[in-house]
Amino acid sequence: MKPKKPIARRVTPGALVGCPFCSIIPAHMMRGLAQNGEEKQRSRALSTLLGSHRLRGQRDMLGALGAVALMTPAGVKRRTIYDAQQGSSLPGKLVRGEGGSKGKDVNVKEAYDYSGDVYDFYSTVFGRNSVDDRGMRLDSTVHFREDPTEPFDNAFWNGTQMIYGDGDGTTFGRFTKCLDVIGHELTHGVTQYEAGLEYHGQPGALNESFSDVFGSLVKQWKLKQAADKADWLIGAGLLAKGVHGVALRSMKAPGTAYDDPAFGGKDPQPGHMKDYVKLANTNAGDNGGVHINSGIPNHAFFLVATKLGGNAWGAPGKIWYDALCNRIRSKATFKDAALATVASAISLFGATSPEMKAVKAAWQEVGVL
Amino acid sequence: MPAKKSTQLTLARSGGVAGIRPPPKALDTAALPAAAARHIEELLEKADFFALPAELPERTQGADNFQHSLTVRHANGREHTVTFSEASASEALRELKRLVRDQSKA
Repeated sequence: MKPKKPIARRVTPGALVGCPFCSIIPAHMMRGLAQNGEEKQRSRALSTLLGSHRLRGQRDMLGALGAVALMTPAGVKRRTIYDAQQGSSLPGKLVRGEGGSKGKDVNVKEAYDYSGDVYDFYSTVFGRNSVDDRGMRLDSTVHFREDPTEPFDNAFWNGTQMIYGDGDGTTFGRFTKCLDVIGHELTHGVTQYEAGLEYHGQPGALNESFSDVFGSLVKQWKLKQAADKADWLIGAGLLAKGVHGVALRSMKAPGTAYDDPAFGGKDPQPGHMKDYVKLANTNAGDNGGVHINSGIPNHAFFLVATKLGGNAWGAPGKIWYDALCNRIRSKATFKDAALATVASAISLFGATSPEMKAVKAAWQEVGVL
Repeated sequence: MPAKKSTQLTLARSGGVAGIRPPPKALDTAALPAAAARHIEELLEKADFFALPAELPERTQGADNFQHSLTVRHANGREHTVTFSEASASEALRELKRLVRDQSKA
């Protein structure tokens, strides 16, 4: 298990991640942003000011900024929802901050509520403080379109925030609808800060699989479902009416989630190494099929969870989380991941434990070990 | 009457959280009015399409972003495929993508 970090009573500079300009903007400009900028800029500017040696400890300055409300200590959930208003500008118009009023927009409500559930899941189950484990703000943009002339059938993580489209209504509904999809996107952030798995080939398929595993676990945890009661689907309810399918992926039975011409035919996911799909390691080839071959490690996790029974976020989740944080490196293959989870199971539960045996047997069953 | 010059464009998509690959869309300039066909030629030139790398460099990291691939078989015999995310593409390339998408709807 990853050692739990003490909760520091300080302002977290989490918002600085991925913000290359923060370190080169002079302090006077930062103060200007902190006083006059949009909330996101204000928060970043304030974090930078507080983090700089020159100004550290000058508490009176904070009063002058009138921005004390933005000083959220680490260990506290901080969600911010933006509306792209069917455009591609990021982050978009600020529509809801932490504790802000609900409003009528269901996409905003879902992005807010579900990102909160994901935060709570990681915090409660693994003692993790947000995506970076340092209290990073959870920013989401809804009603996004990469091309303003076309409905956006996607949700993605851009390295610093989550982004959701409304769907076209004929193949997909709104992408904020499913807790597991939101868990999937945020877990891409967690993976980025932990194993840092490269987004191609087997490491890329593992990256995708960890997002599916923890996305599914968030949903099971929220519904208080034991492994044998869970649907083990990713994105159930996301497909529009009339589409022949139930979800984006099935961890229980990879390759069975859909079969529809609009989706390019049948769900192509394999559940065993003998069916590993070799695609070009290019962007056009889904980087070697990262969304396809993830079916194999997905199914391995399903097997562990159902062999052990009970809550999948218990022993199985802890083993996978320990491997992701402490053992798996950026270029890991399926076999590396299998050995890492076996090592985690031994470290957490013992060398002859049922947990270790279940993990080993599952990777053997999908043809990895 | 000589056969009309024909440039064929095909648009495919990969990536996205769903990981699905919808059926590619295709456009043949021979089927277009002369002005529309000319406009496509102008856009190909403006985008400097045949000089673009096979993959445009990404502007951000992250995961699950869409990747679009445009393949052009030009009347002059050249063929080239460029894969790009919307944010990494020039305005001319984005317009080509939209034209192939919309023409295919007919």
